[in-house]
Amino acid sequence: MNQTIRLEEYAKRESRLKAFLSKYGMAVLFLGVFLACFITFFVVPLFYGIHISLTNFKYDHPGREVWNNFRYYKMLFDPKFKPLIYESFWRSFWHTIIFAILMVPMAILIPLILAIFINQKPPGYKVFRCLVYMPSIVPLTAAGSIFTLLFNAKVQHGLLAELFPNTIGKIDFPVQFWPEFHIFGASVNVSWMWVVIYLMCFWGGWGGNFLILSAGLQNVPKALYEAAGMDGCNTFKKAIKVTVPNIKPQIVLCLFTTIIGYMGLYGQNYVLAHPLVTKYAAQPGGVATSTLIYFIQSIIAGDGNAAADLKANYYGLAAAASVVFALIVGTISGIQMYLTRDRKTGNTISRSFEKWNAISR
Amino acid sequence: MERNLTLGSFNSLSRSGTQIKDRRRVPVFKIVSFIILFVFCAVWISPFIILFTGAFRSAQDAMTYPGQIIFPHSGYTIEQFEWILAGKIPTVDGKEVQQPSVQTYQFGYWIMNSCFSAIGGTLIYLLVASLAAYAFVFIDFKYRNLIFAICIGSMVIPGAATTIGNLTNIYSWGLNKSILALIIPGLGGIYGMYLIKTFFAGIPKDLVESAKMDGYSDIQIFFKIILPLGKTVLFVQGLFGFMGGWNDLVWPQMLYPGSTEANMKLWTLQVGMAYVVNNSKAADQVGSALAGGVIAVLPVLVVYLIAQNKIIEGMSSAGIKG
Repeated sequence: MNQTIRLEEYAKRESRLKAFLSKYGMAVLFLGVFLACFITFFVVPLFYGIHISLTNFKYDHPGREVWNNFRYYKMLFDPKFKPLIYESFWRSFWHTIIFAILMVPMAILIPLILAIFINQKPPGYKVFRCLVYMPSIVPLTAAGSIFTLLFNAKVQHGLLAELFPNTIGKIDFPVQFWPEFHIFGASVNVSWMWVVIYLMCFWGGWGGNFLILSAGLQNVPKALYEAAGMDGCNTFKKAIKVTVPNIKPQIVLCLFTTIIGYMGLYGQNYVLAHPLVTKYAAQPGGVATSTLIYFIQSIIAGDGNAAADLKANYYGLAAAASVVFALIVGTISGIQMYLTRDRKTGNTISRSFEKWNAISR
Repeated sequence: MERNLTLGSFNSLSRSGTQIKDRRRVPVFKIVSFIILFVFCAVWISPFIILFTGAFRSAQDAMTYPGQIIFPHSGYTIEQFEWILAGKIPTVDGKEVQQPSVQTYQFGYWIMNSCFSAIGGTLIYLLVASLAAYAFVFIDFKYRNLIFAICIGSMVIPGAATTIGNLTNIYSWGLNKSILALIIPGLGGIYGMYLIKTFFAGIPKDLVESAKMDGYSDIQIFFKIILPLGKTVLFVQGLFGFMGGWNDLVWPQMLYPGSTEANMKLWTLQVGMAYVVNNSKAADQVGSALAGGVIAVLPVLVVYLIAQNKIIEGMSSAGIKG
């Protein structure tokens, strides 16, 4: 009797498994690998990172950590707890914000103007389009080697210093500083090297915007221009009154993607200005051109003994800083999603993204 | 004569409106834009010229006659490439020497690792992501839309939030001495899957249903119908994956920090090149950095020039950021 029941249970379980497999087997087969990767390499690390930032985690002894009463967040937000780390972090923060504010108008305006010119379809416009986008594919180390050659100091035979000895030759880009200034309690002293970083981003940082904007321009109805011409608009007025309002979705998209992109500024600064140090030298993010990601990277990926100490002692601080970074950038992306969502056809996020895709097409 | 002229203009008027316009006024704006674009492109391309000519001149020239970029004093040479590929760097007087204070450059390893990361990682991701995209479009299952919405919603969270957790996991799995760690975190990426899914959604469902009537299984449909139809989007996504993998700096640098010899054999070309560029600032070794820069830029440049139509199309239509 007992055995029969067991057999029945077994048969039931078996049939349930079969039913499940025939219903969901294909979905599991197709989706399983991707979902497993998504969970292992995105969801779990996300929460693990938050966990690390809240405990006294040591990366060489995982599993033994205990809650540490927001110690790392106090370092970032309490000026009196660890003043040097606080200053170093907020210095990096304001570097990033100010650079993004200075860079974003350029990264929208220049491609917009060029896209208007390209849209006139002058002879060979396809070649021009190809060339304008070309700097954007260059790996930043290669670009860094070019700009190092261009802006080296005169003693190191920098090209521009040799060509213009009386102007550029007098500036020692990596070492000289502009005066220090204070912003919300954080002192910021800016190296001349920021000019070089700006120029490098200015050279190769907006190719994607250019392509998106010129694709948007091609979809502006020609009739609108003709109507504006009838009403007596000149070319400039047409550009302001007809072109810009019609490609507003693309401009919004470019604006947000550019801001998000420059919030993550790191490589240019690392390649161009790595050996520079300031009074924060021993702190994470202590170099003259540090940014938010630089702050994190200098703890995790530094070279040498000092960096190994930083990694041993401040691993959780890097996690805390990356949580703060994710909150800032996540908020900006959230606003972008909100602005580009479709108001009429429901409120699911996936639909708003489909709309976004349709707009940029 | 006069009659002919009027007749001619009448004819053109009757043929099309645009032709009159062309005759009446010169396209000033077109010419102006041509000139501006020409000047702009000339300026914007000049760093490439500096890169390529600078890499092909001798170290001696770079120090003694730095201004002579286009026509180097003693002609073009490939000695910079020979030196960096052999792990040597020039001294201050331009002689080749192996500097003991700096770890030997491992360009062979770096190129191989970059190729593995860029090509291998992209191919595996394309397979995984297109399978998932197929499931989201053509297979009905419970919570499908919910799972998809969660995936898309997670796109607000920047990658930097997960790197520390990923890195810690990789330490505990013992993968931090293996180049596998370069590609595996990328496999969970949403953006490529989302692009492929939007393309698959445009494929008519009848096609799949009639194939099912004919007795095809989902796997057969995927490989025989959907993949051939979706090869455009896979190609574009593959190109972006290749360029992204080739140009990535932050993640490989996190994985293998420190310029020990064992670590340097795991570096990708970008990490190695960042090291080379930083070294080249210390002394007069910019030539070696430029030669390395040529090696780093050449694959992406060749891919871009061959497939630029597809890349530009993909960028403009999907609105991906480069």
